[in-house]
Order: sequence, then structure tokens, then C-alpha cells
Amino acid sequence: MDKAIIVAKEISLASNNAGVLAVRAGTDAAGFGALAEFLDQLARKTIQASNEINQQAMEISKLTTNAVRTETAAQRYEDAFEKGKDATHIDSLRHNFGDIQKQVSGEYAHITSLTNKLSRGLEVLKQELDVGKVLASMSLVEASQAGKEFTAHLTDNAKNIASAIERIEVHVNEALKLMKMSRLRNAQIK
Amino acid sequence: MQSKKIYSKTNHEWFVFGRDPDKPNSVIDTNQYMIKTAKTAFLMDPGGIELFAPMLASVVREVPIEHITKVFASHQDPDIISSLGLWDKALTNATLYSPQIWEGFLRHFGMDTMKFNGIADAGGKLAIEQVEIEFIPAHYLHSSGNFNVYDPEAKILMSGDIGAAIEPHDAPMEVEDFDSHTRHMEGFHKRWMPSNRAKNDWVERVSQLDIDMMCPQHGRIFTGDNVKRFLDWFEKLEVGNAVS
Repeated sequence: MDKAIIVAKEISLASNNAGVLAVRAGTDAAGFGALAEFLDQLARKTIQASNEINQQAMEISKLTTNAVRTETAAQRYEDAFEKGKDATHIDSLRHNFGDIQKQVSGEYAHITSLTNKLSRGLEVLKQELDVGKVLASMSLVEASQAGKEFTAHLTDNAKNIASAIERIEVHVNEALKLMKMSRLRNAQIK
Repeated sequence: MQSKKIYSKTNHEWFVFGRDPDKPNSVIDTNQYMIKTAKTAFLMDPGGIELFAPMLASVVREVPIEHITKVFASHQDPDIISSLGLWDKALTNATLYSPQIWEGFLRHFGMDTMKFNGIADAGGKLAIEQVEIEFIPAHYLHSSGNFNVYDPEAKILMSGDIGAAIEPHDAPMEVEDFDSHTRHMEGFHKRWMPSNRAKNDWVERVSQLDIDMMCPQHGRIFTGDNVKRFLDWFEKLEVGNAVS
């Protein structure tokens, strides 16, 4: 989500610029000013949510590395059972092996739970972006009603914000796709 | 994987494991060793990740897994101990004995369960029930922090990379003709061992030990007079040949 953060910072800057323009345009652009403030808030929320999502993704990555190691140990254990099936003390491995198998299931269940939480965070962010798209459309209308001197600037500004929201949406959708793939893989292991 | 008992007395045995026929040819062949007492097993240089399954299967032919409470890594190389992360899952009550300087490096292989007991540069002793073994310094041969294991009662020296030979995977476990065996050792010792000073220091120290069997981590075991032959040969060998 680092890319989404960069784009959200662009929105924040554009919203602030739009706010300044709206003040200069006076009462004719009063509606635009209010919308610009909402969009700035949306950008800040997006940055905060993206940072949290990044942290959660890092945690999931660390846990997954450990789970893969445990899973590898379980696979090697299975090989040892096969190779040593007639060994005198082969039964001494069974208790341990059971623990490792439980550990593998537990670790992947934990990862699935965190993945679900992360997906929910992304869905919430997506809904915020939908609101942002509506606000950007309304900004276009408000821009057209501002004084002649300001209409072109404000229209460009609103279009830039709409385009930035769409770019963030692409990153959010990509992240959601990855989460879906992760959940499918974990379900196969369980 | 072949498993052979090389020393046996009541409640005191030595085993060598090696020559795994399923091992990929691209992976260097290694010998793993184990001392077994009544209720304890001491596993030495347990090997790389590729060897974990055959090693575990071989070990439980001799001891139940819970008896392995002590593990030794002569140094930090992957062929010595990259299986650590897997043994760490298998052994619930074990301590790893290894050169103190390598602790932070060895933990990269994964060690959450096992305890670490760092061996100081000067070496030390360890009791395995009634058997007392010694950690003999062998620094810079080839690793900068490196130990051999000496068992004064069995008169066995586990010499790690010293005495190693690079030869076909189906070579016998014991050196038969020392002179013809040197061709398998020479290149390895000249290139992998960096210091003549360290080599001579080790030869002097080990010459004072009473050794019936010298057991390297690659190649064949030296027995009887071949131990002395090796020490004489090694003393004369110029090592560190990558630097002219």
C-alpha cells in the first residue's frame, strides 16, 4: 500500500490547494471549499489505514515465514517416518510429530485470521474511496459554478482528485486479490 | 544412510552415520557422529537440511528421540548444522554446544526451543552421564571458531574438517592405505585450511592426546598408526594456498 500512500498525499495536497482557491473565489465556491476539506480528511484516513494495513501485512509475512519452516519440518518428519519405519525407536517420534502437525494448523489458522482482518480493513478503505469518488464528482459541479476566473483551476483540481482516487482503488483491489489468494492457499493447507 | 557402531563399552557407544545413497550428488558427503550413554545421546555435527530426514530415521534406530539432549556443532557451516531449525522442532529438551562466537550466526538457521551453550575459545569439558568429553580448540581449521571433540576413555577424536577427504560417495568408512588416501585430502587441506600457524598449533596439541581413532566430518576414519601418519603428513603440508 506504499503506492496508495503516495497517491493519497497527492490528494491531500490537491485538496489543500483547492481549499485556498475556493477561499479566494469567495461565496461562489463555498461548496467547493467544504468538499475539499472532506477530501483532505479522506486522504488522511487513507494514509493512516494504508500504514496500518502495511504493518499487518508485515506481521503476516513474518508469521508465514515461520509457518513455512514448521511445515517443512513436518514434511521432513514424514520422510523420516517412511525411511525409519522399522527403526527400534520410531514410536518416540510420534508425540513430537503430532505437536508439529498441530503447530502447522495453528500457525496457518492465525495467519488466516489476520488475513481476514486485513481484508476487512481494505474493504472499509474501498467504501471510503467510493464516498471520495462521489465527492470528486460533486466538486466538478461546484467548480463549474465558481467565478469565471477560478472555474478552470478548480475543474482541473477536481479531475486530478478523481483520477488519484481511481489509482488508489487499483492498489486496494490488487491487495484484496492477494488476500483472497492467501486465504485459498491457507484453506488448502488446513 | 549407513550407520555403524565404532566403539562399544557398557553404556558408552560411538556411532557414525553417513554415505546416504539418496543424497543429491551436488551436496558434499558428510559423516555425523553420536555418543550414546544409558539415557543420553550427544549428536555431533548433525548435518545439513538435506540430511535431516535420513539422519532422524537413522538416529531413532539407536536411541529414542528424547534421549538426544546434547547437540554439538563444531562450527557454523551449512553442511555442519543447517538442519538446526529442523532439529529445533524435533528436540524438546536439548542444548546446542558450539563456539561462543557463532551464536548470533547459528540462530539464523532457526533456534527457538533449544538452549545455546557457547564454548569459550580455550575449550572445555562436558559430562555425558559418566562419560566426560573435551572440546579441543581447532580454530582457523578451517572456521575461525572451531572445536574437535575428544573422548579420552574411547580414545576417539572427532576432528571435524581436519582429516577430511573429497572422494566418491561410496568410499569405505575407514582409511586402508594412508599414502594413497592423501591424494583425496591434499587439495581440501591446502585450500580450506587458511593458517600454517593454526595448523601447527593444533598438531602440537593433538599429538599429546592418546588417540585410537580420528573421525573427520568428510571422508574416512583414521585408525591405529594412520592417526600418527596423518599428524605427520599434516604438519608438513603448506596450507592457505589461495594466497600466493
